[in-house]
Amino acid sequence: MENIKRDVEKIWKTSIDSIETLGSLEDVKKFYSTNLGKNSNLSTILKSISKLTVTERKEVGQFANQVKTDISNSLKQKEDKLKQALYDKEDSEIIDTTIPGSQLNIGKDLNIGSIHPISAMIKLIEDTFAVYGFEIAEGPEIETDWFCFQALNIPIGHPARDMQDTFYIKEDELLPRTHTSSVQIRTMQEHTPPIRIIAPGKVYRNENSDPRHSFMFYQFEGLVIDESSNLKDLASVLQGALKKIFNDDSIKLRIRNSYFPFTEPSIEIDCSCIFCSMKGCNVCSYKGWLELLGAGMVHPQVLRNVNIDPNKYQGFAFGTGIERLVMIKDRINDTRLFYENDIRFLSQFKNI
Amino acid sequence: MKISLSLIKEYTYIPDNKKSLYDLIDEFAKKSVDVDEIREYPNFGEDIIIGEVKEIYKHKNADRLYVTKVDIKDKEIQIVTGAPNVYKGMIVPVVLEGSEINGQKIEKHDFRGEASYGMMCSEKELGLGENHSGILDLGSRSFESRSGYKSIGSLFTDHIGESLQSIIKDTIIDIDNKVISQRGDLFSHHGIAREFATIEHKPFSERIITPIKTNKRNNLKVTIEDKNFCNRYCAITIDNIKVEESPFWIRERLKNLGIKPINNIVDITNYVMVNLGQPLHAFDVSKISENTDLEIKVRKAKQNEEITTLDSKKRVLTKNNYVIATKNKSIGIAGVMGGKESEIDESTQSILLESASFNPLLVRKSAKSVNIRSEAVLRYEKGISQSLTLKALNYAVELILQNTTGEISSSVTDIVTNKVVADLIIKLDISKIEKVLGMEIPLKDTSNILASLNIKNKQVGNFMVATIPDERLDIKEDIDLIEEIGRIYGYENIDIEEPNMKVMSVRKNVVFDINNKIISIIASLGGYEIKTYSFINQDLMNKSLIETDAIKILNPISPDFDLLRPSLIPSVIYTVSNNQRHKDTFILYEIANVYLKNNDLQPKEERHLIAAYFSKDKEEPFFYMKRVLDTINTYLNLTNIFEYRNKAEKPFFKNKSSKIYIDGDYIGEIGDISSAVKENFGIYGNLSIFDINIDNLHNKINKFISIKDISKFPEIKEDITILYKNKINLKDILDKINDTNLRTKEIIDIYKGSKINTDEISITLRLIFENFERTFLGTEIKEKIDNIKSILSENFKDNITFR
Repeated sequence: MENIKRDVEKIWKTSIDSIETLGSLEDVKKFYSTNLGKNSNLSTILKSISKLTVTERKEVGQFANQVKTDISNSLKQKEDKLKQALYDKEDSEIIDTTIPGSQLNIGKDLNIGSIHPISAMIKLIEDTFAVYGFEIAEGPEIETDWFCFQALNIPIGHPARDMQDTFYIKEDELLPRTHTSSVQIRTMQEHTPPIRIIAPGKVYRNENSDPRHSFMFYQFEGLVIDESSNLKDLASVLQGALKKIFNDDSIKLRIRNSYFPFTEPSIEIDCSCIFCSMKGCNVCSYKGWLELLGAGMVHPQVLRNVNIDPNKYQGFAFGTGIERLVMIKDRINDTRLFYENDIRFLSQFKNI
Repeated sequence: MKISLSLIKEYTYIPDNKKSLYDLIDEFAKKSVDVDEIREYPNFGEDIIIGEVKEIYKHKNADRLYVTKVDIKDKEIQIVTGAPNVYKGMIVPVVLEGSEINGQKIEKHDFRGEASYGMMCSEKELGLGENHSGILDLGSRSFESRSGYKSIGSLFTDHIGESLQSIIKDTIIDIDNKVISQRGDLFSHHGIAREFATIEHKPFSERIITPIKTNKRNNLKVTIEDKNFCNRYCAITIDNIKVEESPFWIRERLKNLGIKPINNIVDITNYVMVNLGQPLHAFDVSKISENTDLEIKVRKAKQNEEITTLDSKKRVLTKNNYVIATKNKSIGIAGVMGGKESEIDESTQSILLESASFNPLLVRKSAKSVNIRSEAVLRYEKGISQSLTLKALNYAVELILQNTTGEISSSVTDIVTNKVVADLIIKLDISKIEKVLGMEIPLKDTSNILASLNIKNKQVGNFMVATIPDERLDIKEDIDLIEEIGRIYGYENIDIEEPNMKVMSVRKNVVFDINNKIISIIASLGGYEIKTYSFINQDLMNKSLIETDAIKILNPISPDFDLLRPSLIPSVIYTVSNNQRHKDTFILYEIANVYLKNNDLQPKEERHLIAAYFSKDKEEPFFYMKRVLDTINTYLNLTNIFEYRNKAEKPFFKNKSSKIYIDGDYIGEIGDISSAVKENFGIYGNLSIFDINIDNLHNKINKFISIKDISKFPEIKEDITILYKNKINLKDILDKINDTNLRTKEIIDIYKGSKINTDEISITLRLIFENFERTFLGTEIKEKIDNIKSILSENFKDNITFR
């Protein structure tokens, strides 16, 4: 037993000495594998104690473990020292940050990059609706309860709040907006009719991710307020716009009844499937129709909330998920791909 | 919510023909409520036929199997079965090879050498019950003559008895609750049936419910503490109850509607609820009172009052809850869930049956605070007509008297504390209908649609005067009537044309415009645009050495996403680390908001542009990023170039970073990411990042491009190479190189490396001189260069040498 103890002691001394002489992080790694790893001398010795008696085994085992911990600690200290030295050295390296970047003859070896499909779709939406006189409007992503719910005819405690799973920063006060409809309110508060806007942006819902859901996604919202725009105008504008967005002149719309607290009447708009001409295919789940947008005539209560006279003005609003449009157009079947940011996915969007 | 069309049939016409039925459901989905799913019950349809076991013997190679020959009229088929109850002469339901049961296709199967061409079904497999211990025994030939199972080979469905068939043969539609959250009336078959009747222009017949007849004394004292919470309370007691399984037709209907049958009393209250939309509750009298005199209080819960609810969970109540209570204790959370202690069980002999009208908002608040979503809450929170309270009690009593041994033992208690709505009258300007919907609807149709929805109406001049029944709590103003008219008349009648909107000029959104430009510029420089989540976690911040205080989300989806990010840097470094194994060199970039704490309620949102250059081998990544940044500056045509001065902080290398300014305003930072941070993220390579606030860049764009003249005389190019110490910088050097004839100073080469000292940089500049008046003279340029050199030497002394 004494022999074994002496061997361990010897390893201890030589290890501590040689740790001192290690010069690089590379050396530290090597030292670890030869002296503390599975096939190190120390491990071999520890394996041999099985021949000893129980009390001896306990004594040697405890001692060897102490030694092992001590060596590891010393090695860790050395590693930290070396790291710090490396950081210090790197910190002492100086580059001239004033060299004008636009004249540098570098980076030419990079292939052309790509625009994220969501950005590309937002641009397409912007350009398409601009033709019909819609301007881009934006609002904050972290909204007050008033702009996101109350002004939109969803008072605190209203069951319609269950339609959207909300994250809260402060309950019933401040939240990451659940829809871009909040921008409607901001726009109507700041401008007098006629109003014609498109509001794209991020929205947030507290629902678990799956191929069709993501807790963050993009929506766009359209709003028209004037003295005469009605459901027919809404359908006509959307049909015209969708023809451009999907690059298909044969598109037809179908309108179904729906419910949103901030529109009355509320409708859902489906568009004829652009892949099968309504014959039925897997994109439209063999229905011939693609569910696309929620829409409706702006509720008079919403107009009253922003001090617009509902007896004089009326108008419509519509909105949908931007990912949904991209997924249909580019036949992508998992919404999570948009936020995984895998270059192998992104580099396929060569539509700069 | 599930709706039974066989139950709807009790109110209005539902076609038997499958095609007509599905067309109707389609119309209903378009005009009323979206339908998520349609299910047929029982779902064996034409796939199950009647057979007779003609022969039976034990399987040679399997102890528990029997091989049978089953007569299906035209032929005998071989079926292998494991059912212990099979016998010769047994009449059985059979599914043949190629047919389906419960959505599963039956195929020919080989059981250890014996082929089986079908399956004999158990009660459970048929969806008729829970028994799965053997094949459903339809009797034998002798039984056949009695029960009418006469034709072997005919459809099972046709032989299950008419009354039974009408109940178990059902079409269940699952409707989308979300789109009816304003319509409490549709959380009932009564309400849905009204929609069906209207859509198909068929009459609607109200259920005839016999009012309770009783000459018993009043044994119930009810106190309602808060009129605002409870506006009507009806109750009655019933004795001689024998609690047992409820009749087959009730169980079957409830099961099809996804409600678990419990016992005759509870099932009847549930049946009335799905039928009329009014939740009811039954208490065991013996458990709430020592004698037959009862005292009930509807009151606010006391803080920390405890009750165990029917789901056997102990609930600690707050002032947000309302309870139904006796003198001593609460026996249920009002409108939410009953108490376990007063539950109906096998020993119950006498019940107190309650039907009440509660304030929707307060029930919702109460339910939320104890986190219960019961069928009762689902309905109460939407609003239930006050006139239903007594009607539902009447119906429940009727069903109890018809289907159980129960006998009425009290008078009817009916307390109205607050008459909620008188019938609302709305005047609708007829011309507004077309103005809003954009389609012309004949006045007769308009009137009929409203009438069919139980909205009485008459025309008075240019107006339609409509009386809204109190079940339609959602109709409050004229626009609500227009929606009813529009959806039922059919939006397919809107004549969609080419857009015909008045021309309006569109102002460009300058902020958006800049985003689009930047996105295109970086993409063309090789960047991949990314979109990362706005939410991050503290660990990612720590790894990035970013110490900004981030705003917390109260109810994060997971601990990985519990902060609003105050910086884009952690997300981008994380994305780089995920991509490093896919490509050796790349640029990622993103435009997104960061959220900063401030004194207002709303955080300050800043729009940032971040870009990262990663390379496994290329040195000095800094300049790759700087090239991108300065190129953006050029192509956005900004009023001034970006200035790079002062060192940036973490997570950058101190001396390989810089703050960025434009027109003296700080906008962000650029730098190489320090080894410590790279190590934290497991990044092996060089990484440089810039992160700038682009909120105000649109204010710094030149309206015009300033065009310089071009000289007719030949220009002269002169290259000079300067070796300078990194104590000084190139910007200062370039600032000192001036001449009236100097057109451009272009960098054509930069060298750092082994041929010069480590603190030195060699730079070759191409100076282009031009003259608008004449050709340069022979020595003129040399003099200019000499002059420039001497100015540089004077200014930078030993720190500069020329090559």
